Amino acid sequence: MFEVIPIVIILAFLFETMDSCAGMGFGTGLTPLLFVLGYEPLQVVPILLISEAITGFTSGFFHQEFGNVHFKLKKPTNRETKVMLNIAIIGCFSIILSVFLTYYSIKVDKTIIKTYVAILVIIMGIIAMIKIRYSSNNYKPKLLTFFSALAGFNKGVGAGGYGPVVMLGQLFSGIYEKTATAIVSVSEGFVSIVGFIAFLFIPIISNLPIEIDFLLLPSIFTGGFIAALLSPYIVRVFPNKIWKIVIPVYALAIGIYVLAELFIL
Amino acid sequence: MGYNMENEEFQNEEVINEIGYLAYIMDTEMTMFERMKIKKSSLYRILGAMTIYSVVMILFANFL
Repeated sequence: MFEVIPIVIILAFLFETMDSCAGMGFGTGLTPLLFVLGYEPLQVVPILLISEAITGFTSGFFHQEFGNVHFKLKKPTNRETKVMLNIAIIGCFSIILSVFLTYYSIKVDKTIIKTYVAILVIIMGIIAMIKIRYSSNNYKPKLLTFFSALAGFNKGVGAGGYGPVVMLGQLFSGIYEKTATAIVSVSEGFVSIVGFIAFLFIPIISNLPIEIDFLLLPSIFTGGFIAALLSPYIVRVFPNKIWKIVIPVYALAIGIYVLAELFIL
Repeated sequence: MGYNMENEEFQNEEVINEIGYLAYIMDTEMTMFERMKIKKSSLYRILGAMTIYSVVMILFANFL
């Protein structure tokens, strides 16, 4: 059924704009709102994964085009490409585990885990805000691997918050804010496409029914795709000192939003 | 710095290996107004992306 839903287009556009500018928030922010609008998890989760895959690669392409990042696919690859692949590979393993847990309904107390992720994001956001004045751009690869693994673990147990933890982890590891945004966009593209494939294949292998409803796809794709074209240009134009403030503040807002969703809404 | 402002290209391969160096140089050596200008080839790529978007929406309309 082909249907274009204006409110979903607007929400997808707003959250993808922030996701491509600040490296986080598309899944964490949009998913609960779509549930509030009355859509079911199987209408939302796989569609967000496929949309995030398309918009992640699109925004990554334009981040490269506008000079926010310089990926080098031919050997020898550069550090930016290696960091992106490092984050993407850890994320891919995690999302397969996450989809597996979802299909087999393995009971994990989501409230406790989501609370932990929200508090983690809030603490990281506060530290990033405190560090604004003192941040250095000395690359710390071990710290980045630690945060990628931590974000992967969170996603693997189905708590989400992958974008904020990876994004802030990159900032703590000394990666330039504009470039970190581009790296996380492309990594999320890889992670989402693997997640979508896992969503299709795990039930096939296990003889479980696949129930994917494509109703929301045209609307989320429209809002997300336009945002993915626009955001890299916004990142390019505004100076990095703006993103140094916007990213931690937005992370803090996302952490509070997740806590509010759990305990107030 | 090995950076060609006109073509937005690095001349020095070693510099490319530094994380975020391209964005850093654009921030420090170009004004915000200069960063607002984009290359003609980028505009064509945006038009190309919009064309792909239109084709995908036509496919959705026919197959969903």
